[in-house]
Amino acid sequence: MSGTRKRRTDVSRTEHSVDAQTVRDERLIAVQKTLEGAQDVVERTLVDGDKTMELLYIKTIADEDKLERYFIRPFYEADGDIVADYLASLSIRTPYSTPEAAQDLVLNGHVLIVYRDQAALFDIRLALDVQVLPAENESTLQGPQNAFSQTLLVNLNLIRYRYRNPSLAVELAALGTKSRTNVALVYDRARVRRASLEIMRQKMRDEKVEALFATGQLERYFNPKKWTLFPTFMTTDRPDRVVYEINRGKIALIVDGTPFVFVAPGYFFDFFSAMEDLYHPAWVRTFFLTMRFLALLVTLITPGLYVALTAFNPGVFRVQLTLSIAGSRAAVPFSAFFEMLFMMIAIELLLEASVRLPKSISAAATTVGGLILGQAMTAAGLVSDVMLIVAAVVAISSFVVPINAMFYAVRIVRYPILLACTFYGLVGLGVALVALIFFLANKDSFGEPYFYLPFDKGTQEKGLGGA
Amino acid sequence: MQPRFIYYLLLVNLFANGIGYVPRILLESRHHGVFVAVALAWLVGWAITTASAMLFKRIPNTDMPSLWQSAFPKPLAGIIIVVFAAEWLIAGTLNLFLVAEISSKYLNIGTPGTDIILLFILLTLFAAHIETPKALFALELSLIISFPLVVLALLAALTQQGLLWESVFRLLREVRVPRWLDVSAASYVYAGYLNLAWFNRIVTSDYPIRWMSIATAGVGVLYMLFFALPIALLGSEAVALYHYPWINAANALRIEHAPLERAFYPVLIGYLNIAVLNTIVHWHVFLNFLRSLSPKQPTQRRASSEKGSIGERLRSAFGRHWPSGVLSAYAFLVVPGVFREWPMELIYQTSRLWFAQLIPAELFALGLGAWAVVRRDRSSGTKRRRRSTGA
Repeated sequence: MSGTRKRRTDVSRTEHSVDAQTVRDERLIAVQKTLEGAQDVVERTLVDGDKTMELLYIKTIADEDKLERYFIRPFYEADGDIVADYLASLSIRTPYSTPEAAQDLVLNGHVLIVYRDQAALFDIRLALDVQVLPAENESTLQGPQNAFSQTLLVNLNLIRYRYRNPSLAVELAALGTKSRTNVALVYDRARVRRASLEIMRQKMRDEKVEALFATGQLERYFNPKKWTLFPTFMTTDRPDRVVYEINRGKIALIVDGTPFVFVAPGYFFDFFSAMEDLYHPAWVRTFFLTMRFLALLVTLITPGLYVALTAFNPGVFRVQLTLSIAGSRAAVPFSAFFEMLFMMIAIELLLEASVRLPKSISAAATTVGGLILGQAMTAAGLVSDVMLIVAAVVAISSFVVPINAMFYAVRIVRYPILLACTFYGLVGLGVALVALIFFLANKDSFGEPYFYLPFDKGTQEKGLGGA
Repeated sequence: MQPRFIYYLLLVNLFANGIGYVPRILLESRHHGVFVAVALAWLVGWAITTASAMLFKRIPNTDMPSLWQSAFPKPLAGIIIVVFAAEWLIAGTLNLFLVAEISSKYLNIGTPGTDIILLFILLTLFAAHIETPKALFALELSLIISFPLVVLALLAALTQQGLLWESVFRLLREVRVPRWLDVSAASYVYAGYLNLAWFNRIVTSDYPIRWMSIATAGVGVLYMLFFALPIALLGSEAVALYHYPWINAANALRIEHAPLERAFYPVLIGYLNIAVLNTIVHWHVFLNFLRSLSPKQPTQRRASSEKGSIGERLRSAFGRHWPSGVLSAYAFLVVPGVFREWPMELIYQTSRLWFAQLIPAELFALGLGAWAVVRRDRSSGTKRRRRSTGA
């Protein structure tokens, strides 16, 4: 066996010694042609006595230190046969198959090496974004402080580091017809729901995005409906959350180049759990969960309730309260609906402005908007005092939603409820709430029902069957 | 799915009817042994619930229409299904009338009742169309949101000063042979269990029968309380002066030290939500009863027929959607018209007729179910025997 191989390499050596300098390997040329026009593509030929080695890589994404250490130095220091054996033994080696595959790998930071007629690719990717940053989008007081980095391998490492389970499955793929972004599908083989996994794979096959940089794009492309409001999958940058969800049988999709990980399927109530809930004693957790749902209810119904109670049923409150509301509204020339609508839109604008502005200015903007404008509006009699309190309570309650995508959805869904109350008062409020619940219950996320109370784990695990 | 959903079905029916039609019908004959009627109704309700629980345990993950279809010849099964679908449709509709009437009388005083009933119809049609498991999830959460409002009423009533319990006791002492209508109407609050005729296909029935007895007893106690409270609040004579005794009783409830003056509005909203949910459940059952009449299309054939000619596609679309068409036409054409034209008294008369046939209809349905199970077992038994002799 080794004898035959030796003979073949001998033959190739004699061939190469004749025209090593003039004729380059056609596999290398094929790959180089596809990369024409990129000036950071490096093509080098090393010659040492009768040894020749050809290299092709992209300078900007390959680690030249590694190249020096792993390939160039051994090439000059060792014998020809030893170099061949050494190259074959490296774990970062991928054999050359087709020019397209080789080109993909070169674009991914591999170096194509042709030595003695053997072509192979070696992973010498240069990882720049490896530092792990603190989690800022979902912060916890006590609990893991770090977020994902922007590099796929580091992120996989962070997951493996927290979930040392042999059933953890990692499927690597490339998405984006042009960008060929590396993605990894991570799930627990023993717990994952097969149907969801199949749907996920199907969606990844069908997915037609050209350049993929962020998980948010996937949300758009994975969703069959164009106009959706409620997020049916979660994006998070907390490794502990991803591991927690994988352990619950969900699927995580990590996209190279962004710290945000896509977790599916997403259930409505998951969007209201903060990771901190896991790190607190049961009573504390229950209390804060209750508070969060109370806040959800308050932010959803209060605008509508205000309109319904001032315009339709002022008799609901105690007389003193009714009178003081009516008194504070006496100077206001609009109907309650417009008063509420103006105030809500003003708060939306304020929020949007403070997100877009640099941090140093946004504080000033909130002061001007919140304090000065609010004061001036009531003084001018455009908005009642009670209205300001209601608007502030609604805004504060909406901030309690821990996941951003759900926070936006909740903010928007208040308007239809407000409209229902404007036309139908308290009846409209009840109808709108029931309609919202049935609307949410009607949704699917990756083949799983989106909305149910997680009273028992059995419902999730047994599947729902029937109808 | 878990048996807990059965309790929601029971509770929705209890609250919707315990506040709706039933109290008025019962209070009219308050001097004719109404508490005897309530007690008898509890017995009847318990018997029917237990019997149907035993039946549903025999047919796990099957609904009544497919049971009937598997046991009876096709035309007969079709007739039975249509008759019982109509029962569910009428139950939902009567409920809807009352909800709309009460909303326009007490909550949205300016808005015409027809507007309000159209709003409820829109909601109910949409909600009745969603898949059965999802409908149950939504039912669960809506009920959990509305439930505290009604419980608030109970608490407010029980802590009320000056409750005239004496008038309740006086009525309790009047033991007479009750009217049939009273027994039948009072037994309606236990009928939520019968919605399992459809929901049994997804709700697992792996619970002991005695749970159902406990649940029925719980419903009975709650209902006794529900029924007695208006009498205690308004007095044994005045209570019959009102069209909606419970609503007026709630209007009399004061809450001390709260921003709200009266418990009336929370109770009303809670009741309206629960009653709408009740209509949604009933119409959902109706819709699916009708759907079970369409010939079952295997998914593969349906997929291929979607690529077929226009005629085929139309036919398959019609086959799938005609029950929705029937329900929508009924909801938009018949319901608002009847609600507009009929005086409330006529609607009450209809509800009396409907309540009077309730117990026989329930027994009939159960009997048919039991017979179907026997027939099915026997036919599968003969098949098995034939197969074994053939082998």
